[in-house]
Amino acid sequence: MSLTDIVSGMNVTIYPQIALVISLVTFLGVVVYVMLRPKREIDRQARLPLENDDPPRRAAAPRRVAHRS
Amino acid sequence: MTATYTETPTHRTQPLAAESGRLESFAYDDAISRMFLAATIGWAVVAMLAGLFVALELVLPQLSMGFSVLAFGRLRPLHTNAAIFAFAGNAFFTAIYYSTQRLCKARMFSDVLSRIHFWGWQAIIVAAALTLPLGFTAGKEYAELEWPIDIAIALVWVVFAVNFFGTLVKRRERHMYVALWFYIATIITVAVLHIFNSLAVPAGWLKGYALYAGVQDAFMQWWYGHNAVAFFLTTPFLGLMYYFLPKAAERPVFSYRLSIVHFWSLVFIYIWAGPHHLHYTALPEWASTLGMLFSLMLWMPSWGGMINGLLTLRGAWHKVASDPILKFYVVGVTFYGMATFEGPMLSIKSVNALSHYTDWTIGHVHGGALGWNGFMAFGMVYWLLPRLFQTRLHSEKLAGTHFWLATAGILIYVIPMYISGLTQGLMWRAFDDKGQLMYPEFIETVARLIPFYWMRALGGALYLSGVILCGYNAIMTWRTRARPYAVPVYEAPALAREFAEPAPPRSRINGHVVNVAHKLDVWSQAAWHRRWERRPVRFMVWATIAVVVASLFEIIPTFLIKSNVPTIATVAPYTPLELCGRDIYIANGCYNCHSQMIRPMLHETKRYGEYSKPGEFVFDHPFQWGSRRIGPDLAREGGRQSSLWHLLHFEDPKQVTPKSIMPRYPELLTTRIDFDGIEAKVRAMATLGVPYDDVIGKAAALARQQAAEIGKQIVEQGGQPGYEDKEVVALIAYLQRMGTDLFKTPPPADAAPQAAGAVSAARSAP
Repeated sequence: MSLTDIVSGMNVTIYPQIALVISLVTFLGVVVYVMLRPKREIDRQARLPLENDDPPRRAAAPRRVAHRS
Repeated sequence: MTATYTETPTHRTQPLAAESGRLESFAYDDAISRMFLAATIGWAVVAMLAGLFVALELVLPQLSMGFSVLAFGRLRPLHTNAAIFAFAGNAFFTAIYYSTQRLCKARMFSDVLSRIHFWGWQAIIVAAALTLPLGFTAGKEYAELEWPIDIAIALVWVVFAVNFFGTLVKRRERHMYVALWFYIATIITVAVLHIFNSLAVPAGWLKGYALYAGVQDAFMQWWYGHNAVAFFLTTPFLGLMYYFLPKAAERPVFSYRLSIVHFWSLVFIYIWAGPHHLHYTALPEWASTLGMLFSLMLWMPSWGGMINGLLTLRGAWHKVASDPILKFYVVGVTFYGMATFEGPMLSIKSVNALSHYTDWTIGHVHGGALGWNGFMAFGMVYWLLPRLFQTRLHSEKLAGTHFWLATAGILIYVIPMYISGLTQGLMWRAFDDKGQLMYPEFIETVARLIPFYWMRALGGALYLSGVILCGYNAIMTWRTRARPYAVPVYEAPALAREFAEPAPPRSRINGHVVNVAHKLDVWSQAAWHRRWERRPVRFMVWATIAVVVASLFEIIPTFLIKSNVPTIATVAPYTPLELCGRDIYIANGCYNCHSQMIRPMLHETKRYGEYSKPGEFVFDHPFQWGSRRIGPDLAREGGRQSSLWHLLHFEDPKQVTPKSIMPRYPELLTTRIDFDGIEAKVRAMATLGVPYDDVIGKAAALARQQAAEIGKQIVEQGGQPGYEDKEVVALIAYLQRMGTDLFKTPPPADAAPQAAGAVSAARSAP
């Protein structure tokens, strides 16, 4: 009896359908959650890439830069 | 832009008292970004040069000069691998190493691991560039590399993953910006895809046979191919977009909420999106329909992502006119929208029936690769050059020229490909009023495409010239670099190990309602998800599980249910000589131009013969269905032509088909068959469950015997003697066998032992 025989007898086709539904529901849950978040929090997160400035084009010497996170 | 170190006022939504740990100093490792940046540009030139060469070979087949090493089938995989893994790969590695450090306010976890990743990846590319033209190939599109290189890829990827997640763990910014999520999805999913699709049984140091056969191998390969496009060419570039586009536009992304939805839609929907993954399984109709629905749903987040990118530039459109970087991004994001619209459209069955095997696919992927991946990468390159080398960009004007050359190049490439795809697709299916094929000679449909192939080569040449300008610009910028580079030191508080949980939210509902309502209100305040996000590793693990579970549930039934592949009693394993010939077929990349899959459509069965059955491929490790018909389908090639015809055709195709664009293969007529090496092939196949019990130990002798017969046939048909030990004979043996088993007389019910063995093997094939 091979692995294929065992699995064929397990009637596994139901699982992809369950997983599909779980995926869909979870995704919809995430959408709802995202929409419910406060605007201020979202705005701060959106600004993250702009927080760290890059080295100037002609940096004279290493400078210490403080970042308030 | 003048960079100033003004402190950005930050918005705190809630007091995070416990978060302000000890203030720490750190500097970013920009040397690694510089290395990946240089590799990106260098490999871009190589990849597109190879692309231009193979494009020209289609109009000037004599370019291969009779050398197998230079033939289209050998160099096309080199082009695709270089474009995807060398150019696009190095481009998003540059993006990841640059942005991850800044988004995490932390240096990479280990400089040593970064270097191992860089040099390991470049070594893999070089190994690919050497082995593919020499014919060492696994014969599966975009996964051609042989098993030792596959193992090296897996190891280097693990090094990359450890380095990346190590950086996330020691980050100093509590919130992980959405770009990081896209990187996480990339790293995890590519690892899973690569490992499962590359499983093979070695038959020598540079030869392995795919673990799966036929239909299952095809499912595995296109599960890989479908998701590799998502997680190697889409998600990392979306991460790139969500970081570098706001940087270049100097304003935050239009809607951060939308970007989060965008991410989760790819994780939860993309894996399910291809209804073609569901059509052939035993899933009921409603699930198949749901899969189609997912496919269409994918349009929304993809377009949402595109609009999100474009609207980020709101109020900055005047800059687009003057800034080449923003120009690259605008067009790149637009191509993302176009490609993601076209993808689901091509998965609609009736559209696919026309587009499949034609240049439409080629146009589609080049719109994506040159437009989306290429433009996002070059936009990033021009943004990074002055910053990484701490100088001015050598020439903004040249960057602008690059943009226009590349844009014109894409259009001159893609539009002729759409026209040629439609032309050939319609010619294939055209019937005259007597019910006969209007173009019964396949070569007529090829000859019609030659003008479009010239235009395509011109478009490619324009795009390449733009890339060369970029390389020149980069070198000139590098020459004026700061010496030594300034290494700014930054400070940020460490994240406190003990994070004080804010008090759990309370229900905001006043008055008397059922308890459940209070609970729902608490849940809807989503503190649970914020808690999740603060635990990156756990967050990552669950996201991973979502991807892996979806994949496994989709794949397992396909593999392990016998009824998916009905067995055919007369289908037997290849003889040793045919097996050897099949390897020559694979090594020369014949699958790049010839499919082996006749679809159940009238014009296909009329042209090629009986349509292909899943049970015919149970011994095909790997499958060779192909995805493009530059030449005709070969699934029923056996017995169509004489062996002498094939010999002349390989010597110079124009001898039998004057308009043919197939390269000459004179080497096949002079290279001796490695008879003694066939035994190892047979044994490897036997390991995979192919019933070779009565062949093992005498493979070489059997092969010699069959080769002598074919050599004799050739002489009888009027050819020269002396080919019975040449590779061409093995290849002819394979071609003459193709698709013939279906029509053999089935053995009587009480069965010859050999046939019975074949059937049971077919059943137990993994």
